[in-house]
Amino acid sequence: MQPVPSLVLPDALAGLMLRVQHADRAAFAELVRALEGPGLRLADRTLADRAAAEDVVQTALSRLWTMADRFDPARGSVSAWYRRIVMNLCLDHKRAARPMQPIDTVADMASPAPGPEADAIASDRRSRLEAAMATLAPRQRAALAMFHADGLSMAEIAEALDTTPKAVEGLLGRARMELKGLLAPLMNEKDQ
Amino acid sequence: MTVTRDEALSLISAHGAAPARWPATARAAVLALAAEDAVVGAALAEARALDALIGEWASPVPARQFEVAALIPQPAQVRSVGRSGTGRLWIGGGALAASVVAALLLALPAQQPVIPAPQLASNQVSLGSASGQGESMDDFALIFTPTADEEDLI
Repeated sequence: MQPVPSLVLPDALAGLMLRVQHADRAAFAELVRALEGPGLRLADRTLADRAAAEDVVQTALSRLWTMADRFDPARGSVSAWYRRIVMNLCLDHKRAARPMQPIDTVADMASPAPGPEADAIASDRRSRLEAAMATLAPRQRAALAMFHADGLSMAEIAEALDTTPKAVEGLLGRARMELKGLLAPLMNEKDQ
Repeated sequence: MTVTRDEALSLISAHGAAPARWPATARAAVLALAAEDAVVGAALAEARALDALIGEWASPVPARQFEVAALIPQPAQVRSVGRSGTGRLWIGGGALAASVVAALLLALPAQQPVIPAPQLASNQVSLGSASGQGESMDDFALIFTPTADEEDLI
């Protein structure tokens, strides 16, 4: 899968952020348009909950305005700072929420498709995929999303997760190992 | 650079099957090893299938445009904070006024002896007479029997 390219260059984002520091609403609007998509994708994949992801992104974007003074271009990019905010909010949300789905449920959901129709099969496939992903820890899902969907480097992911690149490699390796077990039937279907 | 089988497997297990995502320094060596080592080759094929599924999962989510105005704290919110601050001031002022009134209530009876009030005298007498306990009971009545003014205040 091709990483989704950022439509706004990092330097442009920093320029917008500096204008936001002077309460420039037009710059803030541009910043929101540039960051809402990536933020929503990351939060949605991390939380596996669309409504919660929207709440998180709403708060994260709002913090770009209210905490604009804290942004220092010398310490990192706007994207990295924003990802960190989104991730912290996601993990706070997960800590506050009850566990969503016991692991046993995944086996139940991985039953054969009910009908022969292609859309039903695709839908079933998607649910099995989502169910398997839901068993991973939020940090693992976040790392997978950032590495595979956003094309971020280990160092960039480490920054967002407040850890080291080596730890991210471990996080990704364990996540992929778990997924291999859970998704073996789907991987075999793909081969056939 | 050369890599061992274990190093190649470890790299593939963390980074997946896309050589572009591998560390540049190890890329050529891992690809070469995968071509000649069946175990590494199989791991690469398996990682490719898993990458496809992860890519499917991580596909773009439906977009949503957030309303910019809603993301900026409104001045009204700031004003409402100010109002609640004013409210607290009023509550504080009310408490102060109440405590002054309470102090007056306590202080007033003690000053009664210097005010010749017929009604008070009558209270003293009647209470003292009814109880029949002499001067000490009169003192009690003097302190705790409210005057007409105090009744109004209460």
